[in-house]
Amino acid sequence: MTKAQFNTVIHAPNRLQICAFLTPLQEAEFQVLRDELDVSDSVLSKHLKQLEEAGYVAFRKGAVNGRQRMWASLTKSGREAFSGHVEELKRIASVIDYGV
Amino acid sequence: MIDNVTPDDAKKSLESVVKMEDAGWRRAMPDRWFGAGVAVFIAGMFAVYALEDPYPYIVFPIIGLPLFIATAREKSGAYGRDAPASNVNMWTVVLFITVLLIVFFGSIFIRRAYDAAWVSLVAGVLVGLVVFLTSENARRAHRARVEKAENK
Repeated sequence: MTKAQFNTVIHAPNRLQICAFLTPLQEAEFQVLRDELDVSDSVLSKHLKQLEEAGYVAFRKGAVNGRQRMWASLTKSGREAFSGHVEELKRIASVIDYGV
Repeated sequence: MIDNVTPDDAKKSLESVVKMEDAGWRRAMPDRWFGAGVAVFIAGMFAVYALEDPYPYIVFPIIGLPLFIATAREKSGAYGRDAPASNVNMWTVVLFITVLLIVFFGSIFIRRAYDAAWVSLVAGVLVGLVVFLTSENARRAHRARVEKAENK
């Protein structure tokens, strides 16, 4: 079971959304991520870079119809960190549910 | 920073997590043509033995299948994770591959022993159908999960 742990790198809204979107996926293309998050290329690049520096996201370059595309995926430590962060959010949110 | 996160903030963050995970699941929906394509290539591996000299042709489905999978994934923009490793999944895969190998070598043996080319063709059609129906089943299960999330 994943240990609940708050993660400041992941908690920023856009980075949390990136991790959540990538969770059920093996890989997603940069443009797909940008469209789903409804952000600009530069904003997405900035957040992906921060996740990459933390070791949570990995990139792969590929070509489709001769055009360069970049693919992003969650690393093993990224999945663990995201899972731990979600557990911690559930713990914090449960304070409401239990009325503590 | 954790001190600044109120239970309400956490709840909102969790809602956005669920929303984006659902979006990811929707994106990972397998294409029906993908399952059909994989089925055709696998059926081809069996059916090619109906030919007198299959060896110059067997290379086409063997090389074609991974190429087809790689191309379909590259064009999809996003694709789902392979099934997580579990004992049940592992034994299902082992059993499925064992049955495929028995049908494969069995059909080659019968084809050669009785000079019955139709055995390889029938084996190819049957295996292709099983692969296609399995992929359709997986697709239906995936769609049910996405629809369940949408109706929450």
